[in-house]
Amino acid sequence: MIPVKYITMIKSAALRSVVLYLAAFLILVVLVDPKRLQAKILNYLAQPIDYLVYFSNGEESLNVHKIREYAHYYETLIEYVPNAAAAYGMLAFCYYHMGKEAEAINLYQKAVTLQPHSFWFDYNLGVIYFAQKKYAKAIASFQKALGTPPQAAVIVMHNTKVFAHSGNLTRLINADHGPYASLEEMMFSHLKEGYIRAAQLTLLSSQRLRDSAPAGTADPAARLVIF
Amino acid sequence: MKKILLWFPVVLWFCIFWNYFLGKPAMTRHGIDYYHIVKYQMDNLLRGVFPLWDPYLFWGRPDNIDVRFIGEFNPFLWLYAIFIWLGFSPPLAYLYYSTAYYFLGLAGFYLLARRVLGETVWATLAFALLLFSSLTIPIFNNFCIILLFVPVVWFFYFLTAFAQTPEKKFFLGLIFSSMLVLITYMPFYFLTILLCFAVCFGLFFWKEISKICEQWKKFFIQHKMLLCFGVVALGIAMIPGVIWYLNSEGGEYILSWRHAGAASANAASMDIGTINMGSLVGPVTIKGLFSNLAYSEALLFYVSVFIYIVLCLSIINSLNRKLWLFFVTGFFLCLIVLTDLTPVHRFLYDSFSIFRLFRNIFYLSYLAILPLLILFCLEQLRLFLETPLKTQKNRLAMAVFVVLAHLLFAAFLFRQGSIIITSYVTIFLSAVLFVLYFFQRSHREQPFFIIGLLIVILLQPAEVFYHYKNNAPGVVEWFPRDRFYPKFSFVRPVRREEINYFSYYKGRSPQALQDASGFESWKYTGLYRSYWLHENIQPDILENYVRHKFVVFDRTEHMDEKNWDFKKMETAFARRANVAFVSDPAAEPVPVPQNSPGGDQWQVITAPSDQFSVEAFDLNFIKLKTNFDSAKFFVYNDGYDRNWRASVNGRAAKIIKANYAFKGLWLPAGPNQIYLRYGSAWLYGFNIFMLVFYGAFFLYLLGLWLYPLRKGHKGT
Repeated sequence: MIPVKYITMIKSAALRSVVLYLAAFLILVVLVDPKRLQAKILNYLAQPIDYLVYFSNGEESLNVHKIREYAHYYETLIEYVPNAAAAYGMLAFCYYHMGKEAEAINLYQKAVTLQPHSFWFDYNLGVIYFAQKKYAKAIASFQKALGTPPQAAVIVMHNTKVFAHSGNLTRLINADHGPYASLEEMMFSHLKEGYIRAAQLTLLSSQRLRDSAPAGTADPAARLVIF
Repeated sequence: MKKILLWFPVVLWFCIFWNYFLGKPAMTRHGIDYYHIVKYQMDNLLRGVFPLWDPYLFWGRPDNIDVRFIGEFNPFLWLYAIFIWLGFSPPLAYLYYSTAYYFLGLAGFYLLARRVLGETVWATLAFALLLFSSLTIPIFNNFCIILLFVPVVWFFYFLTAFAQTPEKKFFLGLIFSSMLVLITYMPFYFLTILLCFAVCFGLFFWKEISKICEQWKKFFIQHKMLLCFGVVALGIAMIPGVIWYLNSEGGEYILSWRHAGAASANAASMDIGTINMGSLVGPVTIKGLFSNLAYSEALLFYVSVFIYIVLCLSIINSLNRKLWLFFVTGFFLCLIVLTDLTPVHRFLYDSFSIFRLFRNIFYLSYLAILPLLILFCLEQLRLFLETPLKTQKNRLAMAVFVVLAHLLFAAFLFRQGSIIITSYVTIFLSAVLFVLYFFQRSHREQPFFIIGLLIVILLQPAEVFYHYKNNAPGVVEWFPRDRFYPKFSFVRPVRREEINYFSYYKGRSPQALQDASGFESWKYTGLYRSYWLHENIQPDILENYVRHKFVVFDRTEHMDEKNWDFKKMETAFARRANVAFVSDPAAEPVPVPQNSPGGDQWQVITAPSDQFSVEAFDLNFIKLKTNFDSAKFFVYNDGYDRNWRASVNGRAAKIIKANYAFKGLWLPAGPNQIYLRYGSAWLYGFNIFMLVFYGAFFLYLLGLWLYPLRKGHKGT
């Protein structure tokens, strides 16, 4: 027989708000489909990729507000898909342009760990080190980029596009690509230029390292590229 | 003192949005749509015309497809007219009207909170919390929510008041607010809230129900006429909605963006996928409730951070029936708002047909979840502050709990990232305030404590609203400021000629101020016959035909209505053939006269001439004068609808469906006076009656309310 005192205590505890909140939470846990929830959130946060592509190509000026919105999307994407190397790379690109260089480096390193065959992650990491005048690290990154087989780099680029939000991809594919016939041609052309630039920047970094970079010498324009 | 405190949040609110009210209102998205709709309706009423037909959009369509959004008989719409009369520009007049209406809803919520929570102080706090919640934002970006909220909140106020003290004014208020609900957009949000509330009330207050029913029975026995009047008034208020529903049922028009994929033929019904897009989840996340508030442009679901502090503190509270009622009602509505994330909405969609008729399910969060959350938290706060602490040890334990709860909440916020500084300041001040309270340094009734609570409530929202105002898209300069007068032109613009603001808003803001090309496939809201022309005839050929409002033919050719040969008609349009296609047996084919001046090509009217002139034109009618040498089949490329009436030379004439979607008439040779009018005198008279009825009812209710106040009685 349970003493009346304890029954009263249990009754009193059961009618506390905390029990109600826990019950509501449990009902939500049981009823809500978490995958659908994540998909809905990502769908809402996804921005048209156009701006990021044009900005990356140097055809748009920097708009930190827009970049922040992209960053928010990729942060959430990483939260839900922690192994998405491309999302780390895209977020690093956004962070770099938001002035968070250290975070950008960490993210590129994480992206490279998750996806060793990416050309652009290593290349961009090299560009950041180069801009920071950390030439030894820049050389290592550029060399790793140059060591990436182009076929593997193309596959990674396609993955990156997927995480750029597939809903907007059609528009991007159909958009005007300037001198290029298609998005694919633009990407391949960029990749080709990227390999050439990585080689040039490796040589330049080596030279700077050897000559200990005379003060006041302007660095060549080296910018981050998404694909 | 307590009443003065009520003005503090109001003044703060106006201080934040001051530049909007001094001439730079920033309206976005649907905010501008509602500006268009209100302006269109009121500009027409001010010149003495009740708009029934819109000849400008989608080649003509009945007006009530969209005007139902604003509740066209709502007497508060005349506030817009008053501001115009006072000399304000239309955008400002609209902003003042919409803000005044919002504050009317808040006043209703204040009175409701006073009834429910029992004290003016709590009502003031409830008012402040709701004023500085996301409910403010729809004034600028989706006024429909405010239009729905105001009658809903007043309904619940009158219902509570009538249950507590059955009086004539409360009963009439209940009827009037229900009447407003019935004419505004969709009454189904209200019905959902009412049903949830009724079930939960029955669950937790079943003992009181018999007492309330007994009181009401006594009241209605004493006021039989009043009851009859109420029932009749509600019946009348339902008529426009029923007509609208029957029209949508009859398949007369199409709302492509709503109806796509729906299983039912009713134009208002929707596929579950379309409804699921109206979920709040996605736009609103747990993290988003607290972080990145400095960058928000929308604030879809926002309430002061103090609410969450109260929720944390309330975990030790015992539950009373009021709390159960608020929580369970709100929680069930939350499950509906989550749409396809839980099986609840799917079940309701499959089981009850009304759930197939309204999308934007997230409106429920503004209309009910936010107010219920605020009432729930304030009741919790009241209970928390009433926790009996007899010994110093108890007080110390409570202080430790308060500090711990605040610290844990601060840690939780910190984890979310991108938290604005006032969130932390609020947490700090809140902890200090409660600790002081429990050590009896302040008292619940003391102005110091109440002011402290108000500061804690308003600090973070003030910053959030300030950021919102800065983030909101810039002032819209291009929305029309001139009064609307119907402009007539013989030729419609082609797609590329459409003026900027209209082409930007075509499909979004359906109330055009002048002719539009009529081409809009995504958000088509018009007659289904016009829609089928879009679907079946090449756009360039169709555009070349419909850009001329009047086309005259020498002969007609019969086509089977059910197997319409669009290909043949397209070829005829491309060749400008002198033949109109009809399905009506009344339109007997007439042989082409040998001396027909038109030859084998149609004759388009592009300017007034001796043969053809427009004598008068307005939204609901057109008067024409013709003088052709021979009998002609005249097609007015304005949508065919069974409610159109025609007379030729004073005698009623039959309007024939011509070229599948338009109005046609056979005209005899020689001078003719043609009069085409949409709707019967009965329909027009009914609309005018409704305007007067709603206005008179409101004035009577106002008189009933104010008279005791003037005599020195209490208002509530």
